[in-house]
Amino acid sequence: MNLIIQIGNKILESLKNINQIIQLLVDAVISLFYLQKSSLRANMNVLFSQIRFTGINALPLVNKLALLLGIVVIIQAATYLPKIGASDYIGSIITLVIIRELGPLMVAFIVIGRSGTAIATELCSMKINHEINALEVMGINPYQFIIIPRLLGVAISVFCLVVYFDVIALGGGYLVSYLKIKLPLIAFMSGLKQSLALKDLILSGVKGLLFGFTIATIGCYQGLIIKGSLTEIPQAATKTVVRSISTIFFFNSLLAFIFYYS
Amino acid sequence: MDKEAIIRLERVFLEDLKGGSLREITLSIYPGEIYVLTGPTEADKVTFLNLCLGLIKPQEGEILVGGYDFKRATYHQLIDYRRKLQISYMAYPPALISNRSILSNLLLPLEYHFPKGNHLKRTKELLALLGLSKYEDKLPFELSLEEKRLVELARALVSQPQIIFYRQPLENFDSFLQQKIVKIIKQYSEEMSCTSIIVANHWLPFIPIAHRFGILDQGKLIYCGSPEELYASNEPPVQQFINIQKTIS
Repeated sequence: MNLIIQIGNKILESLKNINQIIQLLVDAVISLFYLQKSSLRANMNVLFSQIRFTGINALPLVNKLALLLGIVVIIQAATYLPKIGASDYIGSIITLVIIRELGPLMVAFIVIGRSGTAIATELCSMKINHEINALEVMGINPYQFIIIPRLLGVAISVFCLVVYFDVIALGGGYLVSYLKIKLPLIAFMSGLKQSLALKDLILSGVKGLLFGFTIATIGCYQGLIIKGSLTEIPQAATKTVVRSISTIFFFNSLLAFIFYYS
Repeated sequence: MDKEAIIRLERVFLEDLKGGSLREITLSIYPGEIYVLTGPTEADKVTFLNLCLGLIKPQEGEILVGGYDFKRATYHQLIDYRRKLQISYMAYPPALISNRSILSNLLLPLEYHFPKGNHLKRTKELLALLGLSKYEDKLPFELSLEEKRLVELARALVSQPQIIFYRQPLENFDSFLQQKIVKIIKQYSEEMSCTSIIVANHWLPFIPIAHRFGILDQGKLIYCGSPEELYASNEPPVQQFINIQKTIS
């Protein structure tokens, strides 16, 4: 009986969280109706600084991980596929594994670790220090000035990072293919072309935007719901990581189902 | 009740979640007025301030600020009203935006609401007046509490607001700075014709500049009138409060 009550409470808590996240997004949309032309520049500055932090500053880390992932995937494929006479499928493997699945997921993990937690802890400290109240009193809508630039900034950044990650991973993959089995560039590209459909590229882009939006939404939500104690800050960061990962895996499965199941 | 009042409270009653309460408060504050609200600790002066700022809403009664109904306004409408009314607030403890430099903190309300204009010159002048020029590139955490409070004051004044709320504007300052701040409040109030609502425990330094005083005690406004009338009051709680303050001073 206790177990049933516990499960019921967990479900109720999850529904409450989902409801509050929807409310946050609804408030963000409503705030746009009060947007003044005069405040556009200030809001855009926050958007650009979010893109700089989430996108541009993450490039060195994305470079390393993309290159290493491309190399690892191709080493595994180039070791096994020639044994069964399927060397031409190396391009297909990289499409299937990196562009469709691992690229967007790896970028999402990087952004959760760097930006999701940063957004949550920053908003927590802003709330504890009454900075959000100070903005409200000055007539600055926190949804316009803090939330929307972060949602858009992270979504745009993740989208661009996914494209960048795919390109670097493909480069790293080809490099290893060439060194290990002397695979000509034409063969690699032809395998890639055969296996890569337009919907793979669309899916990759959709995932980038959706994952970015999800990470920023959860980070903002966890940052804003704290009551005012300093001990809540690390908890907010942890919850941002855990909830972002589980939500992203859910959306990843949902998109795979929508795009490829039929 | 006077129609020209910039802040009107009509039989306001509230009890907030933090234990603050206001009971049957009826008050009008007029444009250009310097109104000082004081009272003993636990008098719920902050609750009054938060009510006038629209951060909390009354359960009963009416509150109109600049003609806008703060009781029935939504969250987004309230922020928009504050923008239209050009409200500013000297918070206590200081609530400066932590990832912005001091100069950037001061420029924020100006650049957000009025993107065109020579804001930099005006902001630097104000920083110089308060002796803060050397801190303009520093972040708030690099400043002492006293310096942060001065920056708060500068931020409240820089956007030339119509209504300024001050919470404990003299706390953390020595008597020299207290006098300077009182003079600045008076000067800006006259130059900008703005309404100043000061919530303070140390009310004696405001006697030369205040148009009216209010004394709040346990959520009730027990006195409201000019400084001269305050001393002439025969009400026992008012006399008791004045005597205690004189003894402390």
